[in-house]
Amino acid sequence: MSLVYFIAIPLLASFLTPFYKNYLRFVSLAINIVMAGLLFGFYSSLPIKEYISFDSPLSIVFLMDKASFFFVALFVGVMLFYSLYCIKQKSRTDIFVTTNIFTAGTIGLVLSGDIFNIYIFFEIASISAYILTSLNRDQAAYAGAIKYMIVGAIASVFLLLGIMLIYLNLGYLTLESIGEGFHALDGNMQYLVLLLLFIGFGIKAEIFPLNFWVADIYQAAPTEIASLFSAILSKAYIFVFFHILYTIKVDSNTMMFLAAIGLLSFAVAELSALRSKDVKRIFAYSTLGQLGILFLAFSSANAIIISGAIFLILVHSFSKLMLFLSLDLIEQELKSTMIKVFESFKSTFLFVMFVIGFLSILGIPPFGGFIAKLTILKGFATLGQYWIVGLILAISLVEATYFFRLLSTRDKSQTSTEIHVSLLQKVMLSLLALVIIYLGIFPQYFLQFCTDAANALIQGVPHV
Amino acid sequence: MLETLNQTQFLHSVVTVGSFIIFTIGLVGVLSRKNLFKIFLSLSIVESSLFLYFIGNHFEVGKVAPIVTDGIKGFGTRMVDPVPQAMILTTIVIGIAVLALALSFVVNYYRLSGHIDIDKMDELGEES
Repeated sequence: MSLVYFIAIPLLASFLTPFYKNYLRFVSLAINIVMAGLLFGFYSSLPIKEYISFDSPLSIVFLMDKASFFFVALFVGVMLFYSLYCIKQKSRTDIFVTTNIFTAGTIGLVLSGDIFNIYIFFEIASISAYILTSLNRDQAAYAGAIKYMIVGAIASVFLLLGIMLIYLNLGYLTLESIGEGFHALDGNMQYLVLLLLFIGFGIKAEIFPLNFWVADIYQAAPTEIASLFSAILSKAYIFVFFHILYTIKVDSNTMMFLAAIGLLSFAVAELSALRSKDVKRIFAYSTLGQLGILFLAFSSANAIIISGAIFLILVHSFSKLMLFLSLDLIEQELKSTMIKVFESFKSTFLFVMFVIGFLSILGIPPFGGFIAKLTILKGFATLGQYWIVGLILAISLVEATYFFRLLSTRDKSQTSTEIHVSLLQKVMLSLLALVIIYLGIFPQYFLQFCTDAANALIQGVPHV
Repeated sequence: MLETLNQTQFLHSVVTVGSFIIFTIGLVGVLSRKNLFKIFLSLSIVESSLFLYFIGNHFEVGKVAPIVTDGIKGFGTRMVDPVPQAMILTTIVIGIAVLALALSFVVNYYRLSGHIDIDKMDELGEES
């Protein structure tokens, strides 16, 4: 068995589309089930390091430790739920051609162990994201895709320059060798490379000074696709960025800078959400806020905080998937995502889904988000940084304001439109909700796994 | 005089300065042009400057391209490092793919809106 299957299977499924054009939805569901099965087979033999074609330090390397295992499992899980959701969606059957490439790109990104391959999967994931953004095929969708491409091209140029400087100065491409040789570099060169990597990954990971474009892209993309951007794409980039940083063991000043950026990102995003009138943009800003917390938590180099962050990634991905897909169902009936749709939709089921999603993201017991935020805050408290705890709680109040404003606009007396939800979609959304509640009530096993994954991330590239 | 011009170090500095100038031209183009075609063209120029910088800085006087031909029997010290060239080839292909996709978006956008001016691109935002 080889790790290449996780990239080859979805890519092949995408390229062989002409042979099973009419059954594409079922094929996508099937490959995600197959990949989930494969993952279970790999769990017992972690960590894995695989060299392809040459010997180190120039070879193509795939790595899987507990942290990257978690991310691959998360992506496969999200795609599995997403395929289940789309089985009843007759409108866009061709969407899976691109989502399969998207899966291959993001999984490749988290599994790659050498920096040039990271660049290639960075581009594969980006290109499929550009295409997914334009799928509505109207003027706004193309405007969004063009905007995304300009920003994305700038990100890839800076990342490429960073990678070139690393190769010019060190002569290596694998993360392991770079981690050993990086500190021999001149101090200024180290900071230049880190700055270039920060710009490249920061744009894609949607971090504060570089995330001016995100809400527009979420607005332009189809709502179901925005759920994938929120649940998968940005998390893959954040993981890869911190995987590189922990491998080359950057100094604490850089980490302090990143923590400040994360906190700022959280605050700015939540404040921007307050004045927004489009539910899709509100969800986008909320995603940016959560990514800010993740950035803050990942830059702490503390196993407890990072385990909380990994917990938060799972809960947030599932909550946002649930929220965006519920919003998509409403959009199909009402043809709008403005706040006023919340006044006029009539579906108790979807309303319950929204409430569970909101409360989980806010971090209110008994939902999974509570445990995640509690673990992060507990970690900061044990470090003695109470001011960060206070700031996170204060900014969460802002988050609560706009979520409760959304819920309070419900008006029973107005004429409402009944939203039709098919049984399969109901089952799928309820499953997501059940996972979130289960994680909130019985978090021990998963928290234990998160701690292992956090230790694996801090350790950098595994020594096998 | 001509001997100085043929030094590896001199060539490296020429390549570095030259690619920096091209990089700046491209970046100014991205920031100042209003036409979407010209913006993507400028991004392409920025990318080309990186290719030039990387390949140029791996060239050394007296070494040949990493190809096994008549005079050269194996991969020895007389060859330049082949890895950057493989990397740049891959990157050029990716760059072409991205450029083609971008231009197809621009063409489709023009068909729907009738203009390719980035300042008039106001479909997205709070108001719409």
